[in-house]
Amino acid sequence: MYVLNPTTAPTAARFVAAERVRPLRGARLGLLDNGKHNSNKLLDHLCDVLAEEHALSKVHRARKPSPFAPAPETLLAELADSCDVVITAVGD
Amino acid sequence: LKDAALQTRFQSEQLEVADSVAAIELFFERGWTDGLPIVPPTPEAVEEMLEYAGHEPGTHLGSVPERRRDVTVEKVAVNAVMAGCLPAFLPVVLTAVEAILEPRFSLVGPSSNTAGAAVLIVVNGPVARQLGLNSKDNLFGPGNRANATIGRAVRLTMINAMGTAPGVFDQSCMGHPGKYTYCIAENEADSPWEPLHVDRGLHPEDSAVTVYAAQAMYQSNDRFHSDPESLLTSIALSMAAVSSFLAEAQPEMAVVVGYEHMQALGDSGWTRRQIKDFLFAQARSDLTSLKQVGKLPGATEPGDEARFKGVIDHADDILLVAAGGVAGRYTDIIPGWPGARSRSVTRAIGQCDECHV
Repeated sequence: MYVLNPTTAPTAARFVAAERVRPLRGARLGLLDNGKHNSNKLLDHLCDVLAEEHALSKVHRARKPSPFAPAPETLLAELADSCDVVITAVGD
Repeated sequence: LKDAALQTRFQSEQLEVADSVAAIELFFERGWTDGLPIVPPTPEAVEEMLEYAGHEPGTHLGSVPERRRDVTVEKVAVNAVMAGCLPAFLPVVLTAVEAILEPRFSLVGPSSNTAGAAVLIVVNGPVARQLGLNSKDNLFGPGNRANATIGRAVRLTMINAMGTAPGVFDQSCMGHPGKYTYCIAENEADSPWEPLHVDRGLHPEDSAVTVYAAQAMYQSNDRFHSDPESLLTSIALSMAAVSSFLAEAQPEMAVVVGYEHMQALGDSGWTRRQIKDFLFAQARSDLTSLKQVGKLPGATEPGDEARFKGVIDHADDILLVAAGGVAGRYTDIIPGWPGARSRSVTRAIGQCDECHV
């Protein structure tokens, strides 16, 4: 007898990773807080370390309205326009 | 369809097994069950379901974009067979799945969050009677095939077709038994009020499903009060207590009024509107209590005991349901998922997209 597989696989589209920014000296850094408690603490600490080591030219902070939904397209476009590098993090 | 046609009818991979017991064991091994044995989803059984409902397997029901999952009728039918559904149950299951895929239900939050909400399904209208759904004794089970398997089919679909497997995207801390199945009907025949789906904008002759991201139910027993103010004050106090177990407030709260409480309130002549307004006004917690139970930060301050926070923001955030066994003076309080971004959805069965509210 035959049975049907009940699962649905993710439909992840293929993508090409953006070119890495090296060195980071003078880069514009974006920090995208995912909206959970303590995400900002982790990002702030990362920012401190990076700023000390790489002399960033600018830090742009953004926060998702909810941790349970994707970031709005407008927010992503804003980050893409104003930053060379973006770090996102979850904390809880 | 003949065997040859069934081999090409479905998109799903077909696995060959020796017999039903081997199929059950295979599904356990693959992690495709809720921990209980399944009915093997043979192409024939799935086709029988689809024929009953008049659906094509490839019909797209909705997506979980955050998990990159597209959900088709075929996968729901496969999981409904596994759950033990009869073909006649499929339209209810499909409507419940469409409802939880609506953006305002915000499935990803309640189905992944540590708080571990389940999906409570309330069925209204003629279909509840036609399928023999239970709305009375032993309301939340066990014992009724339609209640048990419709709720289970939605959960299996979530596990298998929406990435909601425990330990994958379901990161619940405690879980609760409603995550196996959580489906009831409203007792419209005995209810003194218009049905839930009518309260939410549909017609009495519509059949409808309401889905609600729900924690476990808590029984509130009041043996002594029958006048509406006293009985509803008692229920409101239970709402506030139960709410404070979870959060400082609730996005929504279901109140399932059992038969004897329903009769007492019905005798008083109070309407659904009056009851919801009264509960909304009375269900509140003082800030001292909320701080003591760790739902608000900071130390208690003088005056906190006389400052109050409502359990819900609006009277219509109460889902008032008339259901439960005929003996016993109980009302069940069912708090929602404490994250505010999930709203319950009521959707008519077998109708157009514009027919849901």
